[in-house]
Amino acid sequence: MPADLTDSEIIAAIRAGDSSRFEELVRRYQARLFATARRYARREDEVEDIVQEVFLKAFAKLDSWRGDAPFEHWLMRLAVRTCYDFLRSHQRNREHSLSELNDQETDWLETFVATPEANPADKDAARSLVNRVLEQLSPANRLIITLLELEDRPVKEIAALTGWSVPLVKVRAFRARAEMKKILQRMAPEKYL
Amino acid sequence: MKLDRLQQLVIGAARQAPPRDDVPHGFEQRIMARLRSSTDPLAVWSAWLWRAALSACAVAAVAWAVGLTSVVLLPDEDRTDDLDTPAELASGHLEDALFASADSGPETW
Repeated sequence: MPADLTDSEIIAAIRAGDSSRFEELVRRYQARLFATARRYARREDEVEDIVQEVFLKAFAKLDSWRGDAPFEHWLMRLAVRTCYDFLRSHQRNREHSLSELNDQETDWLETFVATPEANPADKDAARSLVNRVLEQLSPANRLIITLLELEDRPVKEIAALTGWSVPLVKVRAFRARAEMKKILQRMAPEKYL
Repeated sequence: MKLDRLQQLVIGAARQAPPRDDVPHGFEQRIMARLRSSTDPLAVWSAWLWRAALSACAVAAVAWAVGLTSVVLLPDEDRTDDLDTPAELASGHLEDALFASADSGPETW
């Protein structure tokens, strides 16, 4: 099979009955989906379950891809919705004990953000610190903050990814920022209050 | 407000530390295996057959265990010594139980 086949050509072959061609699509997009899933799930087994579910859904619903938008966008929509379902189903497991951010951590955060080239260990530490804050958010607010603030996506694109209307995305973004501020107020050390 | 600064710091840190995108070895093969097992009608049929076979074995084991305990728990006077094996003994008692109602009923002729 030539390696430079387009997504449309691969999907046409799968629709014609050669389902083994789906492996090529998995190979093309798995890294992207793993990065997306890791934004919402912390444990690796949960991340793998999410990505697997996305690909199984994609295969089952492949006939609904009409080809008027890139396959990648269609797949990302499935991924975002699957991640949102994951957040909602694990809502009860959220950590409700607020561990406060201490002065040392916030000082370190200042240095980390100011230094463009951080080493991998610092990045891991930053991720875990950011997770401590994001895990306190409700599923919808976490999804909005992630797409809007962390991934820097425009409101229109978020509406397309989530299936929510543009006004609803804006309302939810406002609420999400307010909730995040409230959480930081409870977690922040004295000097930020 | 200083809290805004902290919020910017958290968001800035998240942007600077995007999640890893590495994939476990052989993940695509795992997905393909899952797809094959869910779409292959023979695989589905054999999975159902295995389930049915396991259930049948479980029922047989339970029936055998019940048969064995009922023989062991029989009072001495109920034991029929002319029967040699537990299976013969059990079948004798099954017969008794089946015809008990017929034996105790009033004569109708």
